[in-house]
Amino acid sequence: MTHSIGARRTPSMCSRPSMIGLLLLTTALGGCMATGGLQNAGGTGATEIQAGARGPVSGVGIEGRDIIAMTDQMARDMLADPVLAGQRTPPRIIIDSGYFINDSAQALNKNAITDRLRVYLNRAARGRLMFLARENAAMVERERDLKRQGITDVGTVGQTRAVAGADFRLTGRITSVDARSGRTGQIQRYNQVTFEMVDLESSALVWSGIYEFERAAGDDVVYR
Amino acid sequence: MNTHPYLAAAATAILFLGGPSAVNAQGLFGGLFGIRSSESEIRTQADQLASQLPQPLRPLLRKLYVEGEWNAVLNANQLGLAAMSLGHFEMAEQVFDDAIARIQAVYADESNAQAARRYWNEEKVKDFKGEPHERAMSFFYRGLLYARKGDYQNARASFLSADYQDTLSATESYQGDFALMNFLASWASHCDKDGPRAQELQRRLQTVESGGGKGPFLSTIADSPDLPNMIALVDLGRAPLKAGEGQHREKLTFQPVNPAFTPVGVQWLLPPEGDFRRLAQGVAGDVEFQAMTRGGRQVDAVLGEKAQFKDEMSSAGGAMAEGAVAMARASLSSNNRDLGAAAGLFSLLSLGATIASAMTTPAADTRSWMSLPKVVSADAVVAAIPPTERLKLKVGEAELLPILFASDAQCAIAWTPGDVPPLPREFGGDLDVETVVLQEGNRAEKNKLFRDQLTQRFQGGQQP
Repeated sequence: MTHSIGARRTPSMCSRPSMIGLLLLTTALGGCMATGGLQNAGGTGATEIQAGARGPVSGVGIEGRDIIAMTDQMARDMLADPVLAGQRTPPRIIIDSGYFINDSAQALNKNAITDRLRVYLNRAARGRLMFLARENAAMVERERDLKRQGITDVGTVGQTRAVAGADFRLTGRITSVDARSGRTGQIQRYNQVTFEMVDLESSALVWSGIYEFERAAGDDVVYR
Repeated sequence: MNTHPYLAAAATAILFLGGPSAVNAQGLFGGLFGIRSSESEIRTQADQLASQLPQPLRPLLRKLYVEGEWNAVLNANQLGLAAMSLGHFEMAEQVFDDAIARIQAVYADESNAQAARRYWNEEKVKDFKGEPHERAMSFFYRGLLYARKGDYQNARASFLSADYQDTLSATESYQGDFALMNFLASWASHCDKDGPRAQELQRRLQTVESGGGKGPFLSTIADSPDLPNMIALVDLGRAPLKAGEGQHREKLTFQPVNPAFTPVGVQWLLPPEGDFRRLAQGVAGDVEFQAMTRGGRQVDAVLGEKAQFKDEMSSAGGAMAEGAVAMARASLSSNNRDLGAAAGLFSLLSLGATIASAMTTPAADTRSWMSLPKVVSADAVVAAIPPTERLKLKVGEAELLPILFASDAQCAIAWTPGDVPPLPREFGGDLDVETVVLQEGNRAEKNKLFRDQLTQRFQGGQQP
């Protein structure tokens, strides 16, 4: 719900007493509160700029529902892109938070975004994309050493000459722009999350996606 | 028809009793409805949980547990800073996250905030979120904790949020001038090897007007061709405390606690043979200046209205009492029953107005984060990071190991609380953490959830 915010002073929720109306006033005072003549004294609930469900606790920054929405959108877009998902040989892709930069004013766990995107893509791609666990390279290397030293057997899927090299890697950046009105106490934040797939041979950007939204909210006047 | 004044008086009395918020009503009727026993249970649970922590943190956790959501931000901040000062960094991270989640939450259409605007509730019935300088310092300490782990991006986000808090006051004299935060965001970007962003933030630092928010230390950094990679930060002195001014203590002001306090210098103790260049040294952040230049709050208008109402009710009550006496005398002398009835009505109205005046509480909320420093003193150096577990600092004449120290190939950071002067007696002596107030009211459900989370977290103790 968007509230109209303005600078002019308006009457309080309860008129101040006059001698004539004193009795009525005193009987009504039980629920009366001061507003200081300020508009929007009760504050403004978080206002959804872009359509989407929101929970009871909501601010102006990136929330769980945004992570779900942005990763769903990016995954659909990637799967529809022939350069990524239309190759005869599934391209090898690294998606982790290594090159995903948080440049916003909101501290957050970037893994929540990249992990969901990778898992969702891996499940939906059904073999059209291959994801490499570069974050677990040391773990893989250790196991390969054990196999090659004969400490363990070779497993059931055979050995490769080397670990798989990657064709593409996801990069991205989270940025935000804040604005506020000291007059009404409203704060507004524009959040932008970019996703780009980099060709690890040519450095070409083979795919790009962007998720952006803007929200505004205002605290109760007792916090302003 | 003659009974109407009596009915009205009865209704007035009922509403006066029913009018106060649930919080006050609890105080009035708590004993009757068994809330006292639940209070003792809560206090017992708090004692049991607090016993799992080191002694200095116990009263702070007890206070956090008992006072629940009402004072969660304040108590979490105080516990977080105390935990950090003792090297319990994981605990500090968690409780600062608790505080920050509430600072960032939007309190719109919130019942306790609405209650704070009622004529006969004090402002302090609302949940504490803190004034801009207090909110900024929550992000500041959280940023240091991120930097300690080498998470420079979230450190930068925290410092940017701290900087942003300083812009949220409508009438502050020097908005957006908590330049220490901007500098630290620049430093974090530099450590994250994000040169363009570091330089952009350094350029932003140049645009901050020199003064209390940007002293010689930051002016030097702003104009430096390089950014430091080693920063030492030391909290010194005590931040000002809040006080209520005005006839009804309705205007929030800040009182310096140690006006004569002079901050000492801070210096990295680097190996003399090492290759280093000192960029700046001195006070990097003046918390007292940030508080003192906070300016008027919008809620001051609300409290002013309450104060005006209180005065008007008091005047009206007095005037009607005088009128009632005059009418009663005239009634007796003229044997006029209508005048007598009017005198009775005026007496009741006078009583109502006097009670309304007495119950109206315009006092400003003066809950303060009492352990905040007056200033943050710093040393900023460009150096090759020495291969050592922890470097010493020189604070004044003393050499000490900083409580928080972290370094990687690129950067190093140290933070430590300096000598904190005792709180003068006129401010109530040192932090009185034994004063614990139970404020359940309509928060009972949220408090239960909050206490369950605390129990889950602290049961079995916390490791540093």
